[in-house]
Amino acid sequence: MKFDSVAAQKRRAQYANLRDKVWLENEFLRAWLVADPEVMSDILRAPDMALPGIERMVSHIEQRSGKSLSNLRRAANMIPIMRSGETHASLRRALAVYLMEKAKAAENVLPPMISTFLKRFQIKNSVDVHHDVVEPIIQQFISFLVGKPVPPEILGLRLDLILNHSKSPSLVMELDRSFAIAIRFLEHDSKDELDLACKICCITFGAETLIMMLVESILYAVEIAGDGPAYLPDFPHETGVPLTWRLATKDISVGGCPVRVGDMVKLRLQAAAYSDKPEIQNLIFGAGPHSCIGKNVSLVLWEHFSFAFNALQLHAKSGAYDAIVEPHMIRYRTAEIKIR
Amino acid sequence: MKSYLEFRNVILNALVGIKCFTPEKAAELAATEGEDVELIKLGIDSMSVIDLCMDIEENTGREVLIEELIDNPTINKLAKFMSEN
Repeated sequence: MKFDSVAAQKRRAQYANLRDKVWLENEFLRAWLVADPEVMSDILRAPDMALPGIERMVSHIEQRSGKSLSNLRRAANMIPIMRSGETHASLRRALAVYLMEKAKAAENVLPPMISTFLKRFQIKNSVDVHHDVVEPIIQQFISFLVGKPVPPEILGLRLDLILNHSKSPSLVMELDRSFAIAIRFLEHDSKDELDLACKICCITFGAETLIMMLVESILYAVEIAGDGPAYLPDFPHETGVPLTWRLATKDISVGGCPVRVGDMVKLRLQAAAYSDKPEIQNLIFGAGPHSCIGKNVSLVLWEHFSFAFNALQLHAKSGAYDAIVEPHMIRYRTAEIKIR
Repeated sequence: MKSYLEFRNVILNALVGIKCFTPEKAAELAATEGEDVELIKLGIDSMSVIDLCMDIEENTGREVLIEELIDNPTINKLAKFMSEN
């Protein structure tokens, strides 16, 4: 089935019509933005593009404020993509094994979890796709991944905002306090530091991307269905990893642009979903040694969710939509559909 | 709530603190309200941006997001934005 809503067409046009596909987004911070799928594909595999990590910025704030950010530092050290350089291979392997076991177990857990919340489409005339359906499923799913109910306040802690320079130093310090709570909450039931690291990864990355993947997909499916039933596609069309970061370790040309050593390069992987080439579309989960390690478990969720959703043969139309579009993510105030 | 000029002076002092200006140059700019300076031309980088945000916050009590500073990349624009928001 061709998945081509009006919104998707607009996004495709937006990416296709970008005058520049690679540009210096911020001269201050020497941050480049790349929205060319083929250039992104090269960068993801380039040895001269390393993970940036948050160590330098965290150290600087610690020195400047005289306050320790030990929780933030500890959490970042547990997340492969947040470690500087190429120091995370063993951690990545442990996380891969952890998620593989969870993905297997999820085959039995997901169907009843999903069907509980999809019932809301059958008993209500107006459904907020985000708050009524998707968020509760993801909250339960992440709780399943870490082995106990996760309170909303520690779900989706945003380490990525530090890399995106969206936070003030004070908010970074506040994030340290949030991670202290999260570590304390998870540490008690964790076998060891590696087990804790896997759980920290699950609560930090995943919740927001999975929510966006499912909400946007349902909205598109409803939009393109017209008077017919809404169906989700075989492969998610949105997110995976909307934005990822690399640090240039030497002067290098990126899409013809002179990127200097130390420059930050942001890759808008979302743009890949709108490429005409199927092999490029898969890039929404990244590629190479730092690709999204949650890809398989995300796709297990997608498979069960889309199967259950499609079985509803839902007849609906779009309702109120109010979203906060951040540089790397969409967060929803309202994402409503009206059931026919 | 501080005025535009008060914010402007705080920013100038913060720039002295991170050694982008001498105190004399800051005093000169403080006396010429209309003159504006692009922050990028002062050699500010990702680390001194943090210092600037922290200095301004310490002296005004107002939290400064790094992206606010990026969106208002001159002394006068930043002072205006902060006095209005």
